[in-house]
Amino acid sequence: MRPPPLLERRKEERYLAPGMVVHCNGEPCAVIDVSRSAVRFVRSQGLLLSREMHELVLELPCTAGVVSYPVRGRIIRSTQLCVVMGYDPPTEDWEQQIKALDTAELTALTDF
Amino acid sequence: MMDRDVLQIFLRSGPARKYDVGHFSKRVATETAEPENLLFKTHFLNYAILFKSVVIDQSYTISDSKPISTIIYSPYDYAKPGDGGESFVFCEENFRRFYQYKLRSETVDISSFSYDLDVLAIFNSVPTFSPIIIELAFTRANFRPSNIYFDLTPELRVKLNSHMKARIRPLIVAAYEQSSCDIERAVEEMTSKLLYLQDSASVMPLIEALRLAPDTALEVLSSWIGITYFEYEYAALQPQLRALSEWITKNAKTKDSLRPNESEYLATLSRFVRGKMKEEWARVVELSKTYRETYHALVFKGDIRRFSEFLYSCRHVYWDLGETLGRFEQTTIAWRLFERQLMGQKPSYRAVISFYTVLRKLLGAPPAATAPDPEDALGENRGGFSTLTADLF
Repeated sequence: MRPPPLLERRKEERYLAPGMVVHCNGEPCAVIDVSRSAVRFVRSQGLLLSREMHELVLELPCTAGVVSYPVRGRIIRSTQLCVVMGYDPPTEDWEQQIKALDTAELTALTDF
Repeated sequence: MMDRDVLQIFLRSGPARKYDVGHFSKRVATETAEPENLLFKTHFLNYAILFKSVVIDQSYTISDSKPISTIIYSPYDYAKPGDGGESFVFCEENFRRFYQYKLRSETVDISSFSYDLDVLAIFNSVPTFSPIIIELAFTRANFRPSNIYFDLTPELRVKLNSHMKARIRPLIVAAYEQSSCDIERAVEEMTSKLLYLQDSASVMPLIEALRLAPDTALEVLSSWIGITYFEYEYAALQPQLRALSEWITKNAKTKDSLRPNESEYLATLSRFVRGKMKEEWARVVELSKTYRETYHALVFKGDIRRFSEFLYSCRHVYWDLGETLGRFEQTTIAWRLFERQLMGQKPSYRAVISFYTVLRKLLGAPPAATAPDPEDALGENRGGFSTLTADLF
C-alpha cells in the first residue's frame, strides 16, 4: 500500500539529486529538485504540456546503472523555465532513495 | 635551516597541496611519446613539483585576499626529491630571475618564458591543486593540455560534474525567475557555461540577476563553484579526521613508561593538536552552514539578498577553505603513514612526540615559506635558490 501524496509540496523536504533524470512524455528533462511527491524539472523546448496528466519516468542513478520508476504526473506549476509535477510516490521507501542521492545529505558536515 | 620533516610531508601530500609535474610528464612521455604534449616548454619545469603553501611576506604578514601561494620546487635529483632542491615562491619577477638562473643566461627566450609564465599563473590562480579545480581553471583560461595532467578518471569526472551541476541548475532557475531579463538560452546550456565560465558575455544575465559587479563577477562565481566542489572534498575527509580525533583521545599510548614531565609534555601536545583540529573543523562547519543556508534561501525561498551577500565574501571563503583543506589533507596523510609504520604495535615515546610535532607544525602556525629578500632575490650570497624558502625546506 503506497502512502498518499502530501497536499502541500512546499512543506515537503526537497532534495537535489545529481544524475537524476525525469522523462516527461518520453522527453528527457534535467531535474532541479525532487520531493516525496513532486518533481521540478527543466522545461525542454519540445515539451508539450497541453494535458493535465503526463507520463513520467523517474530515473535514478545506481551502482548497476539506472533504475526507472514510471508514474503519472499532474502539473502543479509551469513557467517558461521549469515545470513542477506531482505524482504518487512509486515505492514505500521512495523518500529514502531520493534522500540518499541528495548533495546536501551526502556532504553534510558535523562537529566532532 | 631546512626542515626535512615538513618537506617529507609536503612530498607525500595529496592533490590539495602538491602537484607533481614530473610524474605527469613521465606519463605523457610514456603514453603519448610526443614531447610537444608536455605541459611546459622549459625542461626543468616539466620535472618540478608544485606546492601550495602560506607565504609570509617581508612584513611578517599573510595576504588576506590570497593567503596561499604556489611554490615551484626543482629537486636536485627528481628521483630523490626528499634530498633537497631549489625553490621559489611564484610571481612573475621571481620566475624571471629563476629562469635566468637555471638557464645560466641573461638572455631569455621570451616565447618559452611567457608561455610557461601563463601556465604557472593558472596554477597560481586557485587555492588547491585538486584535479577538478585545476581542470576548470585551465578550461576557463582556454588552455587544453593532455588529460593526463588532470588525473581524473572518466567516472570521477562525470560524478563531480554531476554534483556541481546539480547545485548550479537550481541557482540559475531561481536567479532567472526573479529576473526581468530575456532568457535566450536554455537552462542546461547556461549550467555548463556557468561551470566553465569561458564566456563572460553568455552569463551576463545571471550576473545581473545576482546583482554582481561585472568586473569581479567571474572571479566571485568561480569562487562559489570552487566552494561547491570543496563541499565534496570535506565530506570525503570528514570520517578520517573524526577517526584521527578519536585515535588521539583513545589510542595514542606509548609502549614506554614515562616520567611525569614526559607525560605532561605528551598530554600538552595531544591537547593542542586535537584542540586545533576541533577549532579548525568547527570553522569549516560554520562556513559550510552559511554557504548552504544562503543557497537554500535563494533556491527554495527566492531570497536573493542573502545569497548575494554571501557571494561578496565568497572569494575569501574559497581561499580559506582551500588552505584549511590542504592542512587537513596533510594531517590525515601524516597519520596514515605513522600508523602504517607502527604495524599494529604501540609507538615509542620518541615516535609519538615526533608525530605530534609534525601535526603541530601542520595545524598550528601554518607551514609558511618566507618571501625572498628583494635585494638578494637570486640568493647568490646564500647558495642559489635553495634557501629561498628556507623556513619550509
